[in-house]
Parts: sequence; C-alpha cells; structure tokens
Amino acid sequence: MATKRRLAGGHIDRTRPLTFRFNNRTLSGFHGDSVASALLANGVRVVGRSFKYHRPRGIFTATSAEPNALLTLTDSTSGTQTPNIPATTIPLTEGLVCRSQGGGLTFDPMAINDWLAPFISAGFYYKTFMWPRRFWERVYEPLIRRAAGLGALAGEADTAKYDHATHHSEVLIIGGGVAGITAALRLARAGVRLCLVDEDFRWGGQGLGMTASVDDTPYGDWVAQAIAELASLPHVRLLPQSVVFGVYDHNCYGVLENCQPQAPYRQIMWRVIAKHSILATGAIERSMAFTNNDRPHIMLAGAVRQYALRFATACGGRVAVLTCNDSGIDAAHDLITAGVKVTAVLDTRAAAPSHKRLQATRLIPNARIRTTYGRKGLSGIRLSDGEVLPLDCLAVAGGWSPALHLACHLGGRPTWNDRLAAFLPAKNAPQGMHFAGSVMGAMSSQGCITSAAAAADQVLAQLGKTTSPSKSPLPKAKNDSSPYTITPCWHMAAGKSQAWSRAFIDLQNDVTSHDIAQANAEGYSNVEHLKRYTTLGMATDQGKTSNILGMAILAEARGESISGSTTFRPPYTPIAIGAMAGRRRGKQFRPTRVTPSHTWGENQTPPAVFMEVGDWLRARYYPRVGEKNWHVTVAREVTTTRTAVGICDVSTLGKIDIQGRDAVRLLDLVYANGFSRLPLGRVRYGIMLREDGFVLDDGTTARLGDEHFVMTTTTAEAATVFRHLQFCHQCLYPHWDVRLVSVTEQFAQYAIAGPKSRALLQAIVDKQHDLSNAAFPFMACAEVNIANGIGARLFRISFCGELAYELAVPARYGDALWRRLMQRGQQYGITAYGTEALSVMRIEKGHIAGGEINGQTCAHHLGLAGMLAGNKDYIGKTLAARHELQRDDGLRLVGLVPINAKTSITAGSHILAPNASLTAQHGKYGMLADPSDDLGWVSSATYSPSLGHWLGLAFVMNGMARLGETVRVVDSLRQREVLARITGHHFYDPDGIRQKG
Amino acid sequence: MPAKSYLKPTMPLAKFALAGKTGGDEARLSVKHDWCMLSVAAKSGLPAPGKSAWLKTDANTTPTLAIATALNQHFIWREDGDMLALLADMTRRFGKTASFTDQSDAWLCLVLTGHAAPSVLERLCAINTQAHAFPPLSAARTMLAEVDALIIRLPHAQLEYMIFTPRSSAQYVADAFAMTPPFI
Repeated sequence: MATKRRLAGGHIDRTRPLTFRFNNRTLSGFHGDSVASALLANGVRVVGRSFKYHRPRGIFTATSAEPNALLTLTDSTSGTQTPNIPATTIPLTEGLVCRSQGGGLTFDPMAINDWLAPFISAGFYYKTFMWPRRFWERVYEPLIRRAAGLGALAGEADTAKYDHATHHSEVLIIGGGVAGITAALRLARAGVRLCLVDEDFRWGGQGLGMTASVDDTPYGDWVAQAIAELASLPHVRLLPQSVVFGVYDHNCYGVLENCQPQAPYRQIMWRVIAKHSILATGAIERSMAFTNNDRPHIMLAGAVRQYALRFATACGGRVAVLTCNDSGIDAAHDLITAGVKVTAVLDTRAAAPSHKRLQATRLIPNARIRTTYGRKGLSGIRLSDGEVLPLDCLAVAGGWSPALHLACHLGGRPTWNDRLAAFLPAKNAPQGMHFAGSVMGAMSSQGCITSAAAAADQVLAQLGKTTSPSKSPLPKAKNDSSPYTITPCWHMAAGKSQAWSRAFIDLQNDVTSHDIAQANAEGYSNVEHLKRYTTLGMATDQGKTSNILGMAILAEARGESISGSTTFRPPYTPIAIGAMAGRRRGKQFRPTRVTPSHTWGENQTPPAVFMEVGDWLRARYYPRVGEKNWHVTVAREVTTTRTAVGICDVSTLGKIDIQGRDAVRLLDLVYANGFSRLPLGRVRYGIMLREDGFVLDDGTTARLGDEHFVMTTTTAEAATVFRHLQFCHQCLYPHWDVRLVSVTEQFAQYAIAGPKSRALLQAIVDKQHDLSNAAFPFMACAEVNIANGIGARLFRISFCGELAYELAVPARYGDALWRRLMQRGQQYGITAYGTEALSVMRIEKGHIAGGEINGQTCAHHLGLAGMLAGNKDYIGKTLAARHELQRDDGLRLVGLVPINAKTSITAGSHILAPNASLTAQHGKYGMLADPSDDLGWVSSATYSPSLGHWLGLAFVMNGMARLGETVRVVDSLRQREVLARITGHHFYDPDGIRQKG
Repeated sequence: MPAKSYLKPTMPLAKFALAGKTGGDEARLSVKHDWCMLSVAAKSGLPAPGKSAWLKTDANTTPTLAIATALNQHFIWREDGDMLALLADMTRRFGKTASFTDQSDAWLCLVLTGHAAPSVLERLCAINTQAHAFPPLSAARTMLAEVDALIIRLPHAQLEYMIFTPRSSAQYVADAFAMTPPFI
C-alpha cells in the first residue's frame, strides 16, 4: 500500500484501497486520490520528459493547469489510448492503466538536446530548416514532431462514446470552491434554477488544501453538507468533473462533463443556456524564474499544500518554500500543521508581518536561488550567497493569477492590477457574467464568501427575487491566513558559468527567460508575437502557469509595466475530437430517411444497393442473381423500362401543397415561365431562378383545383425551395392569400415508365378512371382511386422519355403498392429501377439534373431561354437579362458523342479546341497555353444501353454554332482524352413521340 | 382505410417501446398508431404559435388537439384516426376560409412519459422542455436528434410529451432514443 509519503487526515478514503498501473508498474492508492497524488504517495518523482530538451519532469501542480505530468490513458477493455491527460485531473480508479509520454524516464537518447540547448533556442527551427525548401514537410517536420515530447494517438478509432446535451438554467455558477458554493446556496435557497459546475472530481476547490473551517465546521464537512443540500433541490443541477470550456454568444456556455466510468457515455458536451453566470473559478498559482527551476519536485506551493492537506501526501521529506507573497507563508504554516517537514522558508522580500507565523521554522529573507541540483529529482538548492540547502522538494509561491479566461472569450480584455500583480476581469465581460472569489481578487476565504454573496444578491436583484439573512445567512470562514500582499519577483539572476543552465518560464514548451530576451531583441516584443515566436503559452496547458511570468519578463526587458495579455480563446482545456462529434458517428452520423419501398429493396436477393442523396437512402440499382457488375444491372433496368415497364421510387422529390386565392400569383412570381393559364388537371414544367438570374431549381407543378396546386422539386433542393416560397410569402407578399405545406413525407410516389406502363396502371387504378391517351394525355393530372378506393394522385409526366406516370398514395400504402406493382407487372417483365438507370435515361433524353443546374448556369446556358416569360415579372428576371448571360456565343448545353464508339466520356472533362496547346507542367494534360481554348466542360456522361455508345451533356462556348464539330474531351484527372462530336442534347426520341404516345 | 382495398397499410415502428429508470426517475417511450392529422391554414381562433389546445368538437368526445405550427397554421390531431369526421368538423368550423392538407402519413407519433422525460429530451433537443419552462399544452417546432420535430406537452398528471417526427426517419429517431439514458 502506498504509505511512503502518506500523512494523517486528508480527503481520501483509506477504507477503499485501489491499485493501478503506471509504466507497467503496479501501484496503489485510495479512493479520493488523483493519479498525481497516488504517484507522489508511491514516491514517483519523474513522470515525463520535457517537450524540447527532454529534461526529466515531475508533477508541478494539483490542477488542470499542469504543464508536465501529461499521461496516456489506456482503456483496459477496448485498448483505446487517450494522450495528454494531466495526471492531476484523473480520479484514481481500480485497474486504471496509464503511462508517461515523451521518452523513457530512466534513459532518453533525445536528452542530448539538453546539451545542445545553447544552439536550439527560440527561433531555431525557423532559422535553420529553411533549405532545401521541400525538406520541411518531408523531412524536418516529421523528424521534429517525432522527437517532440507530447503524446501520440493510438492510430485507431476512438471507441469511447460521447454525447451532446442542452441544459437551461437561470444561473450558471462556474467553480465549486467556497465562492461558487456560497453563491449556489444563496441562489438555490431563493428558488433560483441554477447549474453548478466544477472541473474537479471533488467539490471544494483550493479550500480543500487549507486548514480552514466555515461556520465552525471543518471546510470539507461544510462543503459536503452544502453539496448535499444543493443536490436535494430539484431546481439545482450539479455537474462535477465538468469544465466550462467556452463562452459563446447568446448566453451559451460550453461544458464538458467527464462521466463516471460505468456511465454509458465517457463525456457529455453540454450547451448550457443561462441568463446569468457567476464566474468563481479562483486563481492559478505561478512560479518564479531561477536557474534549473524545472527539476522534478520543484512544485507550486499551493499544489504541495493540496497534496498534503487534501490527499494526505507529503511531496518531500525536506521541503522548503520559496515565496514572494503571503500565500507562501500560509502554505508553509499549513504544511507544518499537516506534518510536513519544512526546513526553510525563502522569502524574496525583506520582511512581512506574516513572517511571525513561522515561529521555529528558519526564515531566509531577501532570498535568491542561484541554481538547483538533482537531475531526476531535486536534491538541493544553492542560494545567491553560496549556501547549499539539501532538499527533496521546493514549493514555489510566485503569486496568484485569477482564472479569468472565460471572461475574455467574447473579446473582453483583462486589466492589470499592480497591487495584486495580476490581471483582473475587465468590465466588458460576457453579458450576464458576474464574479465571485479570487477570480476578482478576493484572496481570503472570507473575502471569497463575501464577494460570492454580493454576486448572488446582484443576480437575485436582476431576476427580481430576494433572499433574507435568516434564510441564507452569510457563512463565516475561519482560517488564520495572512492578508495577501505580494512583491513580485519574476526572476532571479543566474550565477556565472551557467551557459547550459536555464530558468524556465513555460515548462510545457521549454521556453526560458533567455528565449524571451532573445525574442525581444529580435523584435518580437508584442506578447502575441512573443507567443508565436517562442511558443510561450501554447499546447495543452495554454500557459496557465507561465503566461504572466513570461509577460512580466518581457515587460521588464522593454522597460515597461505589463499592459496587455494574449487573447483567451476557447477551449479552456483540451477537448477530444470525439466529444465534439458526440454521438454523430456511424449510423447516427446524420439523420437517415428511407423511402416507402426501402424494405422491399432491402429484402431482395441480392438486396438493392442504396446511395445517400442528402439524408435520403435511395436505391441505386437492383441487382439480380447472375449479373456480374452494376453496369449489367443498370443496362438491364434501362432496356426493360424502355421496352416494357419499370418502376422507380421518386418519393424523395420535394412536394409542396400550395393553396389559396393567390396561389397562382406566387407560382408566377417564383417560376420564370407562366402558370396563370395552367388549366385544371394539367401539369407544367417550370424553372425557378435565384435573384441573380441563375437557375435555382426545376420541377413540375400540377393544378388540382382552382386554388390548389402541388409543386414538385428536385430531391436536393426540396428544403431550399420550400424556404424560398415561405420567404416570398412571409416577407415579400405577406398580404397574399397563400398557404404552403410540405407533403413530401405524406405521399409515396412512384414513377411507372415504359410502353407497358399504362397497361400496368390500369390493373391498379379503379375502373371508373379512363387512362387512354385521349382522356389522360401527356402532362395531365388527376385525383384518382386505386386498389378499390384508396385516394391517390396520378400525374402523366416522364423524366425518362417513355410513356410514363407518377402515382402518389398516402405513405402508409407505399410498401403495399410497390409490391402490388411488382406483382402485377410480372406479366410485362417489369423491373424496379434505381437512380443509376434513371440518370442514364434522362441523359439519353437530354433532361437536365444536378450536373446541369449547378448554381452557375442560367436559362440561356441550359437552352431554356424560350421559357422566360416576357409578359410578367418573376424573381430573377432583371438579372437574367444581363448581356453576359444572354450572349449568343456564351455557354450552351449540347450533346457529345465520341468519334470512336468504343471510347467513354467522363463527367468533369474539359472540352478543348482541336488545336489547343497544353503544357505538361502538371502531368500529360497541364496548363492551357491559350485559356480561350478551354471551350467548356462535360456536366453528365453515361453509357447508353439504348444507343450502344457513350453520351455526354456538356456546356460549350458558342455551342449551338459548333454543332457537328469535333472537339477534344480531356480528363486531366484521369489523364485521358477522347475525340467527340458536338450534337444536340436530345439523343433519344428527340421529338417526344414515345412519352406522348 | 377503405375496407375492401387489397393494399394493407404499413405503420412505422409497429411494435416499438422503450422504458428505463435513472436515479429513481423513470421514462417510457411508445409509438401511437391509428390517429389522423390535418394541416389547417386559416385565420382562426386556434392557439397561437408555441401553444396547443384541446378542441371541443360537435357530438364528439374523441380527443382532438390543435397544435400551432406557424402563423395561422395548425395541425389538428385526432386520436381515433377518423379523418372523414375530422375533415367534416373542420369544414364546419372554417368553411371555405381554410385550406386543409392531410398529414396523417407524414409523421411518426411518439409519446414520452415519466419524470425522466425532460432529461431524455435534453440529450436530443436544444429547447427547454423542463416542466416549469414548458407548461402543459406548450408546443414547439424544433429539431430532435437533428430531425424536424413537433413537441407538445400533454396536460396529464405525470410529465407526458407527444412528439412528431418525419415518418421517413422513424428508425433513425428510434435509434436515437434507444441510445439515450435511461433507455441505453
């Protein structure tokens, strides 16, 4: 059992021993330990190697600000590795497996960098690896990355589960220390709905590491009572072990909750919406710069205090405290009280009233450290007067920096306070944010309580609520801490002959005081430039313990006082990519919509092959046994449809029900062609333009009644077109009597196409309906009954160019109707056909689709200029009339047929003039010598089973004048070229005889 | 359904139900079948957006709920699925001033009940459906698991929400609920 460094007391449960593995060693600890405290209790001093110089490093803090002790966690069941987790933030659990990062702890060959330090200071990479240029990406960067000391991903998918959630509260309290809990109690007792969040796995904050009491109750017990009261209230949400990582617009806070190991999700990313927030995040301690100040067991004083009082772990047997403020004196006092042997207190100040608290402990005023000793763990320090103190732990108290990061996420800039030698939150903090505790400079327990009560009362007043002293009395803290005063000591001069000795500012990035001086000398004297030149404040800890120190040393080098900080941005602590994705992975990556015939297709042998079309899953083709590839299947589907009958599920097309006295006015507004004269019982094809004159979408609209229409849109633009109509109605013409409802989901709609389609349909449609060509001609529509009385809508429209219908029934009958059609169609040799066959047939027919309506083409390009109505106004009319869009020699949709019938055309190929000259700069088909030789591109291409060769639809400059010309069709991606003849784009039945028959 | 038709209707998630308990609070999810719903667009005395209301219908005790979906637009939901009766009732009520569209086949209707229901919804939906913020007969058009949804709080003694999502996404939505505590 880990008793080597254990003290009495603490907030660990000695009745619940735990074992864990670190670097293949089995170690032990207790419930309530963090991995860091358990490692310390087991006497582990070195926990990693530094990023650049590969110096041995130990645990530095007791919080998420930890720069050194980053571990890789291994999930014992899945084997998934999570790198760069601070040991200080991981609650110890039974069987936990972790390992250090960045090189061997006992031997690391990359430690040679430490000896090369004078040659690889700040800017070394930028200055050195400049030549040869292409070596940077291929050689230098990979090598440097491999040598760097941060962890690596497992290279496999993260099997952990993550979720997202949204919570609404009146108040979000960020920080579960004495200030946060005080504010929460006060607000909760007044009935305010609140959410209390703390990043630690134990409530209480820094107070757990102090010998304090509240209301004459030991602090830990007071916290437990308060949390129990809060947990009992239905209007309070407690989120322990959760970090508020960002503040966003509209009072939205990003919170990442680390769930218990047995929970179904590893982490939940919460979006907390709160009108008010109270920032009670406390303060982060910082170090001082002195030579070799990075050795293992040179730690922050607050951390040493936390380990002693909270985790009952002594960080050393001979501890000294180095301080420039009174919190260091208090730390020494508390350590002594906890049973830690403090051999000396080194105060950089001459004298302070708090010194009298030290009593028998040796006090060294005006102390300066010249250097330290002990490569794999501190063994001693040498003072400026030459005295050597043998030590195994040095607790450094360089002052406290309020954790105000969240106050700055929406652009707030902190202001420097000389008295506290720290930045304080500025007035332009996020809307509704209040401050409590040491984040606003209250550096005593009672100060935290008083400020928290004030913040809570401020919130109550703004919410129009009150509390009373009897209902929520102000807690009284008692600890014999000293009033916080500080005389900053940023750095101490190194002794002579210390060329290889460095005073570290940023432990995570191995940035030294020398680097900062050098950056300043080279002109990088703005903190933002300094950060990027030296990497100060980058990586996982974002310089929480180092930024202020670096800025102070820079300011001193410039002969100025600290004025501005770097910009604080989310996230406050690192977030796994998986947490951002949440459950949106695999089948839940995005919503899936299935069509009414989906089950039938899925259950075929072999099953239909589906493709994603937006959220929809559409059948791409329906293979049959013996068909060796999808080309064979598609050819069979096309041929059967053209010669007999085929059915295709077109339920995915957008369907919009339009009713009202002004319905036809709306249609005339949004369509470029006219609809006011569309007779009842007829369908019309229409094109819709954007305001800029380019085509937005096309489709058909059927007139079912005098004031009742149903519009069909493409699948891709269904939502866009519906929004567009709503915009036109609600914003442009709100006084029009128009009602719009999407009925896309309401109807299953099937295309029934081919010469036998009428015969098949007659077997389904009830007898009273006459489907003859005379009674129900091309572009007719009607509401009919099918299958003995089921209401349906029938449209005689054709996308494939054959005699064809589209039949719409309420979706509940979709599956049964599809099966019935397939059954009754057997006598005609029916086939189901998918989107591939549909696409082949529409290209054969020369109908446009997504490849042609790509957002950059207008009616003239598409050969549809004749549809543009001259006798009415419509959206896009003015800009469609621009000369550039109308010019005769502009792009025109044409057909392409390869000269050699055995060659294929690929979509995306460029159309080049026969004599175009190409350079070979980027492969065989490179840059055009004369850009005007690029005549256009192929928008769609297919092999035509009906015609026996490949076809293409293409946009070609002055295309109509080039009919009959031979052009080069160049696919530079696939490095191939074919010769093709420009033709009209209606390849199959150009006169439309088949569809009208 | 016409009695003599040979086409048999298929309902999404015919036998789907979930139940679970978390921290003493339970939640149950079931699918409601055999209802009908009419979209009614009319300038009427029906509830404003964000609200729903039970309708008093002539000689009819079948629960009929008017749910505001947009300005002057409502879904009228009738529990017994009698669309002809619903249509007749609405025609009587609004005459020619309204337009009607059948929406009975467009939606999946789920019923989520229990004290844990709001905590289920907060995993799937961004709006505040806690009891205090979403009182009985509140209605919201929103997104649930990235899918269009219509959520109504029913005025029952226990927390109960009626949730409509598109029929085509029924299985996706069911899977999303099944992945949510306490159902997971």
